[in-house]
Amino acid sequence: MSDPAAVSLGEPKPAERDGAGNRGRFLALVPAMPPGLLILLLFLFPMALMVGISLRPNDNGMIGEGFTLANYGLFFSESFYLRSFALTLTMAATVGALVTILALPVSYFLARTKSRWKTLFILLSIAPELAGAVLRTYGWLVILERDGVINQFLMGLGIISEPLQLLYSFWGVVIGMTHVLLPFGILSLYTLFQGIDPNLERASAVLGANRLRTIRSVLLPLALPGIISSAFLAFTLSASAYATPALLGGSGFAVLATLIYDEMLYLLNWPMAAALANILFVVVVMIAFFGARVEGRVNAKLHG
Amino acid sequence: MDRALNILFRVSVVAIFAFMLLPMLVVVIASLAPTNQIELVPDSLSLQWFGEVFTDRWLRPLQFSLELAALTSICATILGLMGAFAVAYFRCPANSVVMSFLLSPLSAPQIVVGIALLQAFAMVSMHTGLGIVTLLLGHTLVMVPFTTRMITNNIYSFDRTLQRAASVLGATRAQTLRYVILPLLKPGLFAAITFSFILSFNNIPISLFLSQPGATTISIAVINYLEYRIDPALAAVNVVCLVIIIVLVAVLEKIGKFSHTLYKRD
Repeated sequence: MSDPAAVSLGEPKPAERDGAGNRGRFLALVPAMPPGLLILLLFLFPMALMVGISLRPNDNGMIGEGFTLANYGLFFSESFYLRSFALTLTMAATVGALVTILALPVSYFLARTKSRWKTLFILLSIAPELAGAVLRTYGWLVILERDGVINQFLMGLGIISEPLQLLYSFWGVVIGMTHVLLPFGILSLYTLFQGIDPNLERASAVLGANRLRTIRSVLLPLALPGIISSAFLAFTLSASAYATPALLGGSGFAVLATLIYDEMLYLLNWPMAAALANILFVVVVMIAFFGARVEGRVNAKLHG
Repeated sequence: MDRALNILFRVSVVAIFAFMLLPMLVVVIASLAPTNQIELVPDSLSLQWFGEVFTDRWLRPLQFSLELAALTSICATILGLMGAFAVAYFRCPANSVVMSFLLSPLSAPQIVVGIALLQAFAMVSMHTGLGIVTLLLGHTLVMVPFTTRMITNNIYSFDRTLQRAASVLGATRAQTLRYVILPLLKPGLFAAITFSFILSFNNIPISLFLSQPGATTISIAVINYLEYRIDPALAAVNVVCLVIIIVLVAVLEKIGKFSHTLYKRD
């Protein structure tokens, strides 16, 4: 406190803090009111309303009278819904795993490269994000179609004589979804690897470990919490994606997101659409919560 | 052993980059196809499909999307700035509660928010005839968490004592705002504007439910068209969209210099 500047710049004196200070603090909250109001009116209120609608019966395209759990009952008893639920989870898990596996080498490369093209490489890995899901899904349609790029290529080489059914299949959707979510995975793992000191890897090499041993004993344990959170993020994002499954999967490929759309806009069954949306919401929140717990567990093991 | 691993690593990096760029390359090639048939190696190139883009069918949703994205990015950035100021200057434990509240729309998948909004708008009879308004409200809602977070990170990253230094040196509040705070906030604001523009322009889940005849975004127009045919005109439409976005990002980066905030750790 011998420095005079420190006195005049320091924290307010206790008297100030108790009086005008408190009011000042609450005044500071005033700018949060417009965005807060927006969220209250356009997020919390509609979500609550949707829970209400999901408890109504469907009355020939109108919302019926009275309250019922029939919509949820139908979901858990009808095999059509249960199959699409299982398909959603299988697709999301496959995509989550693939995105993470493919993002690992690229993000590690981006974090460690000393090339003068580094900025270009980073831009190239974000570029698909600028293009949006519609352009990329359209690109995959052209590639996977019956007389599309892959079939033209394979038939031209004489490897196959009949075109493969790539479009409107599980793996077609998985390829498209993986492509859409890969930039997310790369960016999140890139910041993760940037945070791991490359000297640790050097130290490991100096101490006689080969590359594989360094990856297994040094790099992977340090990166694991980040890898887990990125995988779960890709899982939740693909579990709720609409456009790619709808376009690459075709009408027979029913995941929760496409079912919600069909119930809402074709069948006009709003209560069922609301129930499906609530189920999707709960599933996504549960998966995210589970992911955070696993990540916390691994983190505790690492630092404990 | 290490050598083999190194080669495997390099090959996989190249292969994954190729995988990422392949569909975009294919779309560009398809947009230049001389016929209705999309060939892997076309004999000749043609710009005829770009002529189709400049017809009412595509020009109208394209213009609509650009207007919507511009309005959304402005509204979401202003609201995000407000939220960020409240969080950054409300110095007590409750600011994390305020922040969680402002980020809460991120907890729900956008498709769930989209259907909830459509049902709510229908309940209060705002469903039809309002055109851009319901879409603007929906898009702004889902962008506010992003802009709030970006601007908050920006405020936390700059040295807050600069502001006190300005007042010690005799600057008025207005001068401090003009010459100290605004220049420091510039990268965050431009990052927020750019990102909300791109995310709004490319948005599918919200637009899917809130688009209606006469107020349809380009993404939804393409999806609707794709449900019954694939032709190179769509590739041309997509290429035009991509070029618009790239030019816009380049211009905003030139003015705002925000790109370093992207790949810096926060």
